[in-house]
Amino acid sequence: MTNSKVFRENISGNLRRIAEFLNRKGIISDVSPLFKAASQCLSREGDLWGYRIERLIFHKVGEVRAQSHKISSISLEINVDVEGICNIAVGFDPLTKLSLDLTIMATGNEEVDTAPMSAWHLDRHTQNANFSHPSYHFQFGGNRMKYEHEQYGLVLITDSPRIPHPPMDGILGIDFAIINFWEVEKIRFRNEGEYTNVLNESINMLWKPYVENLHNYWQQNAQLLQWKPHINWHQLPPKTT
Amino acid sequence: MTIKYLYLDDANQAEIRPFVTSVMRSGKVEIIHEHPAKYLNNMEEFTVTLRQYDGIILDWRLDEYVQSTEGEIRKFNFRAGGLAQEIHSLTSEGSIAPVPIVLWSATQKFKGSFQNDFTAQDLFIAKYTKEEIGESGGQIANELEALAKGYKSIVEGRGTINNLAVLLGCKEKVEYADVRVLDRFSADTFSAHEVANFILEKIIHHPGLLISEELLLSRLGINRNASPGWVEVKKILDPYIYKGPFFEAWPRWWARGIEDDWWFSVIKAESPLSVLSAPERIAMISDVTKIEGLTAQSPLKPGYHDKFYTICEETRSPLDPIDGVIIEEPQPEPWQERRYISLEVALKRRSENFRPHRLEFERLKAIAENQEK
Repeated sequence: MTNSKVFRENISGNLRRIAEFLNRKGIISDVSPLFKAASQCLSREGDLWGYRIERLIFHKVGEVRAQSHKISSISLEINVDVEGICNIAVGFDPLTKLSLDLTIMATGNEEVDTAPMSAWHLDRHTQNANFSHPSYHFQFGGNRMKYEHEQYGLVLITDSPRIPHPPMDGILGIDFAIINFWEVEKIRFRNEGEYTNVLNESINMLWKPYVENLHNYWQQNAQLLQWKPHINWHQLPPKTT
Repeated sequence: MTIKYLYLDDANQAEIRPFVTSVMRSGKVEIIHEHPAKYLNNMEEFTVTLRQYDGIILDWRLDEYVQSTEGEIRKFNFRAGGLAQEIHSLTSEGSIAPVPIVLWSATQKFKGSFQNDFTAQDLFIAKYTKEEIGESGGQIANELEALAKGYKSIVEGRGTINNLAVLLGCKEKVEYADVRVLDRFSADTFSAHEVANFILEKIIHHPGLLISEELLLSRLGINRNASPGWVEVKKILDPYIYKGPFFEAWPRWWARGIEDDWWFSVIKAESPLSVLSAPERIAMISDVTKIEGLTAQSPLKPGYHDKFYTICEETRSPLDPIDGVIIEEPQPEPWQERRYISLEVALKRRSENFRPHRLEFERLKAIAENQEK
């Protein structure tokens, strides 16, 4: 119980550290959504940790080429709802809930009423669906792309395919956005200890068990694993013997 | 019992009367004016007098005009800052109970020496210009009353000050506050004035833990002027209203109460309200509460978004943060939110009071250049 509290304090501290760091680097001007998430995580009780990051907005994105529209600049928005088990045992899924949205919005299009946008959704799926849902998957579109005006043009947006991807918490989600939307020379701060320390903690907490789980597929007695590798990488045939 | 304030001002009766009348009209507070010279070199009498009051109002300059009663010429030797300092000392010595010290002043005098004197700013719990007093006497009466009551509740609640949740009225829901707020007065000793100042400046006046009605409307996506049902909505949000010191004059709601408890448990929403458009929020509220007559807020300008969360500080209209810039202000505390002005206001430099934060300059420049093309 006390351990869980320390675990949450650490996660909360990391959110605050990354908020202050990115604010100082001028990457995000309003970091209050991260402070709120940190405070939320701290006030939880029980064996779980978790937080919601609502509408974390990045304005100063690097140069982005768009195929579909003439745009002058874009803004990104991240929304995260994540929950996991404090001090998780080896061989188990560290998370109990994950929904991470990355929304890409064209800005500075004064002529049109509705700005073009798109979205990516990273989900943790509980099984029993008609279609193959790898436990952690990326999907283009999702609810964030349901336009009220229904002007989709000639672009067809479907639920499938769902692409397996390692789970990401708020910190990994932010790093995913940074690494994908900024020029390399503008994000040299990613090598700074303050940033890498925080990032490494999330990597060790979420990616190490995920990669070990996939690796275990080729180990003996893989069929006995509680956390089935084929759930994470759905093209792997389930091992039975 | 009516709240009583002592008002020290060296200006003449004719000049003062309109302000006093404007504030006293509501009957909530009684203001007794005296010329400060009466207490010249006589702090004992001042102390005895002040004990009979619930608060004190000072004019910024107390040393300009002389009082010529009975042929005697007397001029007070303190300015408001110095006298306020003296009152704080008397309070900490225990000679008088802690009471709100309020500053009233004519704008020109106020803008000169007072605004440059940051140490003086902390001495007063509230500051009003005489223009404001003339225009909104009723509201100021409410505030003076709430300040006096707030000080009393802080003095009474002193025993629980190490856990601010008791005083703030969120003991059952500590998650509404922030641990750094709750623990703020857990070590050392603090004066009632410091506690009052912290609550008013850092929690009530700056959005974050608490939100004003304007922010509440923005978050619910409701257009107040076109929504007769708003009164009904407000009623059902009553459990989340702030009931701590000063609540009488500054209505506030616990943000986490509305956005977490109410939105997820009562409205049973699946997504946070911040990611939904105003019409989507209204549809859910009407559906669950069966309240009719709610109209969704529409954006300030065509092309602006409608996932309102904040307001434009200049126009006071609901704003989707994506269409705004943060304003230049001292680094907010971890529990405070950033405040915004709309892109429009920032680009056209429409605000005298708010400037964009330095972090937004590059973006504003890019937008301005793009608009010229």
